[in-house]
Amino acid sequence: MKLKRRYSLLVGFFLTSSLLLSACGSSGPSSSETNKSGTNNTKENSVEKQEKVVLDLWWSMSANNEEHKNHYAAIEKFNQEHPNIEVKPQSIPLEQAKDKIITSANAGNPPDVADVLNEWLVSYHRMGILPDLTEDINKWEEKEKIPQNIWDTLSVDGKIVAVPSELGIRAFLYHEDILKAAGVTEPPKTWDELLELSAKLKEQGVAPFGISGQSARAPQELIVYFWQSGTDIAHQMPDGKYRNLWAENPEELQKAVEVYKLYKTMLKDGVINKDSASWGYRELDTNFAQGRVATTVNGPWIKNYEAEQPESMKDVQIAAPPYNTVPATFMEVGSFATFEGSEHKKEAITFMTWWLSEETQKLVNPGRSPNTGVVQDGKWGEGFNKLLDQGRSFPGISMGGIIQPMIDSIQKSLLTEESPEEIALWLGEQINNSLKENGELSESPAK
Amino acid sequence: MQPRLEEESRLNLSYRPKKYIKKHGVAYLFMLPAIFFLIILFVLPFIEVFKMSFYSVNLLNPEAEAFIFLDNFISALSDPTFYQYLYQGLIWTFGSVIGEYIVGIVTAILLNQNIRGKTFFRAIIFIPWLVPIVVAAMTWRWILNPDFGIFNVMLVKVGILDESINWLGTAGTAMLAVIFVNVWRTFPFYTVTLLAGLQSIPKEILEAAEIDGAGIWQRFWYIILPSLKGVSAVIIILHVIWTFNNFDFIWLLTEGGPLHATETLAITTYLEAFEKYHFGQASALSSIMILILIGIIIAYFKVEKKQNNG
Repeated sequence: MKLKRRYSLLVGFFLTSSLLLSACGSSGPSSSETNKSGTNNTKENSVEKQEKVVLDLWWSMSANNEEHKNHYAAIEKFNQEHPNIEVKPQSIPLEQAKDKIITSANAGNPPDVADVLNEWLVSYHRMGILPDLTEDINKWEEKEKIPQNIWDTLSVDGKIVAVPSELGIRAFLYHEDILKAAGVTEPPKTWDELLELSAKLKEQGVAPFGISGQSARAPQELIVYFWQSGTDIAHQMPDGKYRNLWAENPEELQKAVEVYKLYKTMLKDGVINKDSASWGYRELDTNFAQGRVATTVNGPWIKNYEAEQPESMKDVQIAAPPYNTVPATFMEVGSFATFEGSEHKKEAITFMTWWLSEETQKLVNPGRSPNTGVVQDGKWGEGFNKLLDQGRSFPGISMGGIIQPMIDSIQKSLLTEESPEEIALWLGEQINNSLKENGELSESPAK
Repeated sequence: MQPRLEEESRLNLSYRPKKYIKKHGVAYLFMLPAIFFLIILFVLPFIEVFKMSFYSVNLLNPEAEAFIFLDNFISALSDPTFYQYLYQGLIWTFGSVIGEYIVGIVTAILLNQNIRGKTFFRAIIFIPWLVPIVVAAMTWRWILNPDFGIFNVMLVKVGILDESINWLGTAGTAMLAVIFVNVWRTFPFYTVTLLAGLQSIPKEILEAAEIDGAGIWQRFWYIILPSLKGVSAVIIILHVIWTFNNFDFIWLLTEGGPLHATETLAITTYLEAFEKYHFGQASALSSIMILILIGIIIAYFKVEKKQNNG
């Protein structure tokens, strides 16, 4: 009996100790100390093995997705060409990546490279988790092949903080056959022409135009309407900080009001679906790809629907988005970033620039490349690339506290009786509140 | 006689701790890993959150970090939207829990009958609970879609609706829709738990009641329901806590919209922390949520105690 008790005490002690040690002790070898086979390096290992660096890559590409096969093939190619670096990709949807990066970077354990959206960059920069890549990028021989407006989009306070990986320029997409059936041969160039076209399409019983009322797509669409109307959600002031001017500048306010008038008119006249306020990007893309919506403003990824919906997608054509007074479109720049806290910044930059090189881009992004050396013939390549000059992105402010009010403002215009002016003033106030909370609000008087 | 007793008692007391350790020491030793992880994963983060709620912590403006004592709490409680989201959170919580309990107990009673293939039904009824939340939410988004969702198509074809309703996109129906989907996903947990409780009720009691002339409703109300009191209390309390704190299901279905119609305090906390990066404010909201839950649970036990005493 005594022996049994002693034995159980011993087992209990070992169990407890091993758990405590495994939790408290070193978290194992760092990625740079671990070779490909997963065994620890020792002094006996070869120099080559000791120098092998494992780069943790968090990206949105899924190994099971047919469209992403080339991306995984490119990683293998990189690993073969760089025997001292091994990129280990981990698939994380973009919706989750933003929070995961913040948590890991603030805990001092970020990935070496991650897929990021340009609207996150200012916030990440303010948190101090993005290193300045300007010097390294300036040394890169293919830098000039990337248009300056793309580098501007990926710069904060004049410093390049990310490297572009793919481009998502928005264009006006339309089903040519549906337009022809309504007697229209040319896509609309202005908002007025869009409304005229919609009236004809409606007569044919077709849903004329598709928009997004929620998800990340909605504020991207909204800001383009502001640009096309000649205003912006925040203007950079002489002191270098930002400010929304709608409450203090009637001319600017009027331009914003035009945007909400457009939303209300589109809903009232049946240009857009009555349920557009709850359409996210999935609903919008699917409805357009199936031909249930005749026209929309969308990105080059819509090409991927050709395989699923070959019949309804074959008449899709591409044009510049209709505008009010200023031609403009949204330029979504998918990019790679490395983080403060990563022990392998040098290797990360090697990987990111390799990915952006003309040779790799031909393999992974023939139709959506930020590298001007890669031009895909045909409508999908040329149709979007020719809009590069019109492409703009969010202003250089932290968008965290602004995205949701932008979505709310669209929903207010579609679901409530609030006037366009009330909505514009409300959004302007929300934007300035957010800028103030983040120390980005300019105190310079408006001109 | 008296001094001897006192002496024995004194000796017993001095002996007790040793005896106690000898008797229960192993148990405590085995509990150590669990206590360790509880401290690491729950107690320390809780203390950190509570501490942070007294500070102004904005990741985008680190220079502004300062001890502000109760300002985060005052700011949260003086914001009218706090009460709107609290109210919506309570509707979401109690709507879900009541719906889940009703569907759960009905299905449990049905599955407790001697019907053919009851093992099969008991197995398949658990499927909604096994479906990952993301899959369930995405599937229901499509089912409830006003343009091509099967739910609307069915209701229109049967003649219940004249035209499709945007269940998740209309302020008046969105909360109802998310509660409905949550009930669909969670009721199997109630079914299985209550079924176990039902099987522990001696059949003789029910048969005796039947012989004495008690109808179905009387047997349910006076025998079955009181017998399930213990298990019901446990699952209700657990689900009140889980549902009140639930973030992912509403987020995946509506993101708290349209126009904040389905926003609860859990979603507000997430938005404060991961959209605005106001970790101080988000911590204060989390602390308030914990206090509300503790309040609800204390109130529940007090009512139960009162009923038992009565």
